[in-house]
Amino acid sequence: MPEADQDALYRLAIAEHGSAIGRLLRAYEANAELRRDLLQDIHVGLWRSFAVFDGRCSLRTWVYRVAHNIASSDVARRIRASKQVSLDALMELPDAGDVEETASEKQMIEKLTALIRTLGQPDRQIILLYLEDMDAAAIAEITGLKPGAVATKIHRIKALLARRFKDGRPE
Amino acid sequence: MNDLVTLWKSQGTEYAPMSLEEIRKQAGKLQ
Repeated sequence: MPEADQDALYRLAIAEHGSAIGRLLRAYEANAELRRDLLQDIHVGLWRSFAVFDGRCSLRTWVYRVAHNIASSDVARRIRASKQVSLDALMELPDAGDVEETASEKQMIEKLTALIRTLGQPDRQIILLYLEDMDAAAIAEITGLKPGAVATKIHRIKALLARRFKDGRPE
Repeated sequence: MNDLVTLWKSQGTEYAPMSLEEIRKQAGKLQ
């Protein structure tokens, strides 16, 4: 692909999905310095990937696949798998009375981010895509999982979030 | 639940985007 096209695709991808990449970063990496490095890796990886982008999937699907692959590979290199749990395991854990009725929005986001960071793959990726307001079909296309399996996971994620965050309202 | 999605998406951008020049440099395409 001509480099001008590669640049144009990158610009479009960042214009449309740059904010989502920023949110994804927070959920993958707690350390601000490492997060900055990861952001750089994702940007470079995305730009490189557009050299072989063939349009057989949507730009959104491509961006999320590349960003999640780089982020999860990066985190997997540094975090022992034992620190992460599955969604099923998390569902079984007691809530420890941590539901806050009057949490600020910032506290809610921090709590939600911390919860997501405890999850292994593919649960972490699915919950992040769900929070980006994607449906099961879109998440299935990005993750390569079967739509039915994604729908089941989303059902459990909704239950988990409802339990941990009441109605999802930071008040 | 939609409120939680809205809340999640309300987070501001933490870092400025990289320029293409920076990206090429990092990708080893510039000397």
